[in-house]
Amino acid sequence: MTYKVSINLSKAIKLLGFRVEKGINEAIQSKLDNEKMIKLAKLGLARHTDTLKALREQQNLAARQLNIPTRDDLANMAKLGIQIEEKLDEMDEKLSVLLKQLEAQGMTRE
Amino acid sequence: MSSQSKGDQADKQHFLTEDFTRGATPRQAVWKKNKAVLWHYPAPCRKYKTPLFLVYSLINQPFILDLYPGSSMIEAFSKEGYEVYLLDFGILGYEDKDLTLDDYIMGYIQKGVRRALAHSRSEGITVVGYCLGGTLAAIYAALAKEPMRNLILFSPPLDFENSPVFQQWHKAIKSGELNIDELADVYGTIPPNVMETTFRLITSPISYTPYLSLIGRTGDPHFLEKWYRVNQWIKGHVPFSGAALRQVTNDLLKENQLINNHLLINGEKVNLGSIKASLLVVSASEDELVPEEMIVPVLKKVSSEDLTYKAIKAGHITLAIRGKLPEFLQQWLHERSDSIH
Repeated sequence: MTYKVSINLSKAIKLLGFRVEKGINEAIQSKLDNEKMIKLAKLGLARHTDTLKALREQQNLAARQLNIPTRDDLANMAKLGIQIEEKLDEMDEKLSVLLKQLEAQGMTRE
Repeated sequence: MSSQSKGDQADKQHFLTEDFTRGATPRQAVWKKNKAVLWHYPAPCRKYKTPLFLVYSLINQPFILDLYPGSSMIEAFSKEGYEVYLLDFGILGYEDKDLTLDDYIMGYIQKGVRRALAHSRSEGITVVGYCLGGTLAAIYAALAKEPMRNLILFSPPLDFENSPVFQQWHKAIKSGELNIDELADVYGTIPPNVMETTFRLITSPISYTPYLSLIGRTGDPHFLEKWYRVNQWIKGHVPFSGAALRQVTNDLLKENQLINNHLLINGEKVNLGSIKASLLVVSASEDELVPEEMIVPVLKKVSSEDLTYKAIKAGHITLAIRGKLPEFLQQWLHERSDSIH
């Protein structure tokens, strides 16, 4: 009997939990979905972007003075590696096509 | 400490420290490009010539498709006798900030499909796309020159005319009042925590119910491990390329170019009417992220004569972790894949 009650209780807690969560989420979403919030977000995005830009500029300035590579310098280096890999990949693809053709020709001759 | 409790502790340690992001099914890499890897999952007993090529989303990691033995869609496909190829886009670095949808489709998906066809020595392939991976798969299918036999799309966002939530925000993006281009430029790659916060806002800003599912199940180590892995996947967002995000926001969301056949990839127009492969589209009724309205319009746009639409009672990831192929999928694939015998 006690076991049965505890099963029902846990089910009830879960069901209630799901409903309350759904209600809270719908309330949050509807409260955020208005013109005022969009304007606020726009302002926040602009400020955040400006801060990030200023930080990046300072970082680049410091890197130049200290003669160390910036994040973009490192990214450019990595990109060179990616470009080489892409060229090798294209060569590999062409080579496999050629090998396939040779294989087919060999088979025809036989 | 008794040997029993030592064993229990070792079990707990095991799933907390093990790197399960590698997946549960044996696999081997057949092609690598930048951060992307094309994984091959050989079938224990191959029954079909036509392999499956899985394209996962760019937002989360694809290990959800191979989560846990017995809860893995990849394992289920393999057990059915299909050779499975998974294109894992990997975790982007800052240097990948300029990766566009064009790169993903022509540089990764198309090349990956060619590699999979060559590796499997087959003359046709089934492309399977999940979520945003489904969107990419649909775009690729419209441009594909490779022999695509079948296309399966699970919850793909394709029509962005309306939004299920945040309609005002959606309108603001459409009108150009809200623009994220500058932010995407400054970030380069959008950090995972920004992606996570955005998607949580859209789906469930407050989320405690996953913890409620633990009630009464804490003594079941298999359930705990599966729960832990799902939880890690939910929180495991990956960086998103700024250039791709600009395209998704402007071309897809703002201008709804894909469903209206106006999208350009590498200068070529993406016409959904060019899709002639057998098509299966699946939507999940409890999916908060991609509701049916964002999926169904594609059915009227494609030229496929063999067209199936299935709405199932499930959430966004339910099918991926069920561990067993639903009967409709099993049957659909069986009828459209070349059998070996």
